[in-house]
Amino acid sequence: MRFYRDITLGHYMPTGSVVHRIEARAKIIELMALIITILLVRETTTLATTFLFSIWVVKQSKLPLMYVLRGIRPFLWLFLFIFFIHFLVVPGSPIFPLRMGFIRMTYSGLEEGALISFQVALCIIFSSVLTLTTSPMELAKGVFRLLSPLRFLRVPVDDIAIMVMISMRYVPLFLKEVERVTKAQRARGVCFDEGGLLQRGKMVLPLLAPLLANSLRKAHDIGDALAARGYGEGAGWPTKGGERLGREGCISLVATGGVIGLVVFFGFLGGSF
Amino acid sequence: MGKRDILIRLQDITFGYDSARDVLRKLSFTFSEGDRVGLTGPNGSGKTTLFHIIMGLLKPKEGEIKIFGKKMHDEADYRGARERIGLLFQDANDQLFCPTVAEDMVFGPLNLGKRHDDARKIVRETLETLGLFGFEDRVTYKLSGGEKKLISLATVLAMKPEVLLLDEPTSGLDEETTERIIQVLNRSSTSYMIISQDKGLLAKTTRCIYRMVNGKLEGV
Repeated sequence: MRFYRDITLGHYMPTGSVVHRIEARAKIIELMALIITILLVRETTTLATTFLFSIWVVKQSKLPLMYVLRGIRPFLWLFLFIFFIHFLVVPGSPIFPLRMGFIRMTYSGLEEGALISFQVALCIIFSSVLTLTTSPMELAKGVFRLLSPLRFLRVPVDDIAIMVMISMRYVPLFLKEVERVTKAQRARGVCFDEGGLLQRGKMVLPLLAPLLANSLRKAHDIGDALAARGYGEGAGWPTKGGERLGREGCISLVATGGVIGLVVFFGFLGGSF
Repeated sequence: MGKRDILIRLQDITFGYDSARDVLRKLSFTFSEGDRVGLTGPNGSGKTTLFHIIMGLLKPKEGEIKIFGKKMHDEADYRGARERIGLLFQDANDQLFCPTVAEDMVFGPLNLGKRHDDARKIVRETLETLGLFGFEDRVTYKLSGGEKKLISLATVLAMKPEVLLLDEPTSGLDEETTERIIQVLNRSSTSYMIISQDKGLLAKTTRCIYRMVNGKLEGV
């Protein structure tokens, strides 16, 4: 049950690095572009290059590399799920002659499963870098500024931005809540580290009810707190608009654009597209 | 003493979380300018519910609410009232929803239409009043329980309310922090209501105390 301590997604770690100084809008655009590129590229060498780029970005952020990489660990179940689904379902030349209906084990499935798991891991690393280097308030302002044009279409941009900010703010609190409920259940004899996968899964189930109940209560209370502090329909998101991207923002956009351009170019050469 | 304005008037308020039991039963109460009222009573007797009804966060089944002389009908009416009434929540974690102290404190003033510079100035002044220098950039969820409570109070005071509704402002706090809150309240010129089980606190900060009994308020 130590997995929640490894989650880096949603945490903010101020180190005063150049990446921290990049305007949130630029980082959000870069993350979106990188995720799309990563998911489109189907070639191992190009993905490996993107991985090296992610490590370079982590270094520039002055974040502990192992801390960021450990952030992938809690998603291991997701990688295993993706891997096995592809391994067992994707058609191709069989590793074993066994076949049960649509279930088979193929070399293509093995390759596909590993590739997609790697792609998802890369997306998690880049997303973690965004939240670790951008305060939730800056992130929310970034979302607000990016979505501002949609206000003309009556999209509730203010509400979306504040939801982003509050969600980010409550990730660490939610993890603390998990820890609190886990400890309470441990104190009454529950052991989460024993037994097989199925037994452990069964032990996690009683955690879900109090966590869900507490989260819903918390959401309701936050709504009340927002209303009590004057936030409501027509109140508007309290932030200034029209701020510039700045030198760091522009340089990072160009640099990331360059890397994406190279990835796409080599992806074409490698037959990824 | 001259005639004081009535700030909040509740008339025959009935409220229940479910149809089986009403928490508040035909409760009537008047709160005037300059009042300093203590509310006490058993857990679950409806003290917090009363505050939430005044703020329009809960809607009564029956009864009439007048705030600053205006009858409360819909959300728009309450929005205007909330700009003039500050509510301190029982759980400071509910109150502090922004990442840093400064960001949380400017939230209210900005919603009231203040400019960023003015809001920042209010934050500095409020923190100074509470003796919380250097807290601006502290991360809210990393504060201690006492610090969270003080910052929560600061976020409410930053809105410069005409009425303060304080729900258990000193629960779980040490003597020093409690004393600090008492000093802040005694120095303040704002009218306020305090929910507390701490008789010492109520004796030091309020002029009259009510007890919630069977969904109604009784003078102590």
